Amino acid sequence: MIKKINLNDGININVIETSKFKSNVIAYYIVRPLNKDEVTKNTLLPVVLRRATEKYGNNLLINRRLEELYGAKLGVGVLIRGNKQIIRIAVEFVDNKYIQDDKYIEEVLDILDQVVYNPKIENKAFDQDIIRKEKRNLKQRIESKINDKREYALESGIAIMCEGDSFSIPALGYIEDVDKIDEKNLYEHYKNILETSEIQIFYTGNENKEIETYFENKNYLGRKNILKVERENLLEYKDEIQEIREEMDINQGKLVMGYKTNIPYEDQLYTALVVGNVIFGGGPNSKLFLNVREKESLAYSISSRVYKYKSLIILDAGIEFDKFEATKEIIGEELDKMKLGDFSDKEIEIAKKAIISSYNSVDDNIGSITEMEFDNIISKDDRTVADKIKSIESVKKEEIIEAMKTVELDTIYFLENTSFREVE
Amino acid sequence: MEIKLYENEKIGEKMYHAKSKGGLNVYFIPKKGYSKQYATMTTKYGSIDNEFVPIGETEVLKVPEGIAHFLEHKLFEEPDFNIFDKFSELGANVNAFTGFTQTSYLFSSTENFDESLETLIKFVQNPHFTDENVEKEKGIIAQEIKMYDDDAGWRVFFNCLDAMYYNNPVKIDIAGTVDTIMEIDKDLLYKSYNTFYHPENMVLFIVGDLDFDKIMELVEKSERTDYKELGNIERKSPNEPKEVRQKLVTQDMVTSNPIFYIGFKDDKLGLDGMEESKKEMVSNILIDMLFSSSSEFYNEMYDKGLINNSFGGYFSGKETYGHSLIGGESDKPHEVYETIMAHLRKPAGEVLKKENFNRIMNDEVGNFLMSLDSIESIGNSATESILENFNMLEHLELMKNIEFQDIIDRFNEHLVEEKSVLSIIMPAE
Repeated sequence: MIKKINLNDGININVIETSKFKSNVIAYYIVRPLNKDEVTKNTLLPVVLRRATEKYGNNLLINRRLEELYGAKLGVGVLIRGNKQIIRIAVEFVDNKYIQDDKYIEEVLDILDQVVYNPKIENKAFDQDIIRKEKRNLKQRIESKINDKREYALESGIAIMCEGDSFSIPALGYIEDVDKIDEKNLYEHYKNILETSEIQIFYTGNENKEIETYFENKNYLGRKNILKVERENLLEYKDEIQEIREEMDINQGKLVMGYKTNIPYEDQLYTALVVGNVIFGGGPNSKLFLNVREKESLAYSISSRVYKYKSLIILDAGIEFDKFEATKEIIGEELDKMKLGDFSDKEIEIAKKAIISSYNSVDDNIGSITEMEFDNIISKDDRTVADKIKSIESVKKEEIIEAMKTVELDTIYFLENTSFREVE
Repeated sequence: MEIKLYENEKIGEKMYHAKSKGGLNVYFIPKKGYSKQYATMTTKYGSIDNEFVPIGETEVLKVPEGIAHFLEHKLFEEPDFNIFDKFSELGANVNAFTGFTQTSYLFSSTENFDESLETLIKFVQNPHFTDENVEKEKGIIAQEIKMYDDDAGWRVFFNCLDAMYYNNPVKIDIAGTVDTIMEIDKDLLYKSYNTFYHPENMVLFIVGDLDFDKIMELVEKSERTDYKELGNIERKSPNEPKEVRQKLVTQDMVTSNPIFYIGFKDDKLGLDGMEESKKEMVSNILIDMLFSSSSEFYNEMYDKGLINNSFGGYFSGKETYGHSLIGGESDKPHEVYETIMAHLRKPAGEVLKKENFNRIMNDEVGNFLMSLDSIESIGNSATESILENFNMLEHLELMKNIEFQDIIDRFNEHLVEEKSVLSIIMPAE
């Protein structure tokens, strides 16, 4: 059961008690608007915070402290949810019943507090040296996106499709904007974030009143002008399909196809879209997997996914370079079948089971429990897992057809190697 | 049927074991309150087992590279239905993977566990290979191989093994090559299958909120019992020199920065059970002490800009091979290599400190306990341990046997320059 404590200044404490696990999680989710202005700063900030604090002056000391705390894991990063960029700072640690140390919880809370609220500061700025190194590392991380061809193709495809919309912004930010950041302006940004952001704090784990009380009584200084990030817009349909090809020295082509729909996630029909996508390309049982991979041997991997907050469907496949046209054609035929209702009750049943099973598995993983509750908050969804399962179960074939009829191909992106010759 | 129960009260876990009528070793770890169930059926047969005496024969047979992985794909074939369909109908997720020394078939379910388990056992124990379906699979697997050919992380890893080893089949890419898989046919698949997919050579591991008696009932209802006695499978062990084959290997690929692995070839081989598990643990603690983000050395290299947080290392080994791998991204992989070698040339007493040992042991305790929260992680690590004749639930007890001196000894014998190689992927122009 989730217990919510609203501190009325944009800070919410969410406590999810479960006695199933040997570990517990405390997480801060700091919600920011996704925009070009701050995306790069938001990405850099948590890694800077993770490197040194007032009490633990360098990374070595932080990491040694965590090891002493029985391998507590302090993870930082950013997530994208529609038009929101979320800074997540979390600690996962062993439950005290295996350690039996009266000070343990206090010490775990302390190191998290150090990282979030007590960074290493000099003259109202972050440590210059740390900023220099982490800027360099961030640049490397952005550049290294090209190392994973599939992810690279996906991000490129989405960026092209969503050009002009905030959803085209890459989660790690922009190389050219890294240079504009320095120890002073990032510190300003940090102060501003702590004052103005919606902050969701989670404790998920074994019953622990100490942690609850700690967050309830904590002094969150200087909260003002709390920023409300409005719900994102859906993208408008375009008249023409755009096809972009990019050349790279690779062995396998990466195909990305982006589709728009006009069904917001709040809509009753959205559930039908989710079921429809699973039948279309959502798993090893989907039309795409069975026809493109199993029947025609055109691809090793092919799958499609619904991007909830923007109501998009994005498909990606790894195919041979000369199978581009053939694969495109089959994919088109399979989507038409969906729109015409050419799928069986059994396929619907199977798709529903897959979705229900993944809902049911959520409560076996402490991270998934936390993440699902966070997503519920972001999307203002107060349904329980049981409610969600019920709504999946009630989806009818006509609704799936209706939902799939709104799915329109918008962008085709193909990463290819036209000079590739099979080695004999 | 004799049921053995092992219980570890300190960590609050227990494990059941029994042998079925058909000769299958079945293990079960109950996890109360979990919605998911996880079952994995594993044969002690992987990519390195490519020279062996087939069951019922006397001569050693050399099979094409990648056949274990090919076989894994083909077991999903049934004459009249599709295995993926079947599991999907049951609402369960089925998958499989091939490693160097094992092939595992697994599913997770939140309903219909009984029928899913029956299906798993039946499809793994009943192969259906035809000339036609073997040919068709070659196209799919060729695509999979090409996908890995574009994966810089995968290439730098196998290039490193290729540099370390002369003959040990661990150096061969698990999926084989586009050429070698073309040599695979129905008969070779049956020979490999009949030899290695014998219940005596397999382990069924189940985790979840279930009942063991019921599990055994299901196993015995679903399994085949017409197996002939297997005896010992004769696997040709590689004739592998202690020296590394090549000190440096580089490849150009489309990447942003150079990616590297430094490999150390292990020559303390042939261990089993506790001894092998202890060696693995000691090696990993040693690597953590030297190279993890809590070491001074890591932070020095990080501060110099030589490494970023992709840097890390681990030991991986089995009875017939072993190596430590240290890797990451760096603009200057050669300088990283030289810096590490200079560090390793220092006396053990200078680079390894008792207080660091104690702290890392603490860390290990927490890591192990937290890993017991995931039923998939339990199923996979426990299976791996069983194949090495070790009981994973005794992890903490085994750790107590590790002393600081063990770490120093391992440092002196294993992490030495002569046994090292450097593998680099350079960004293509």
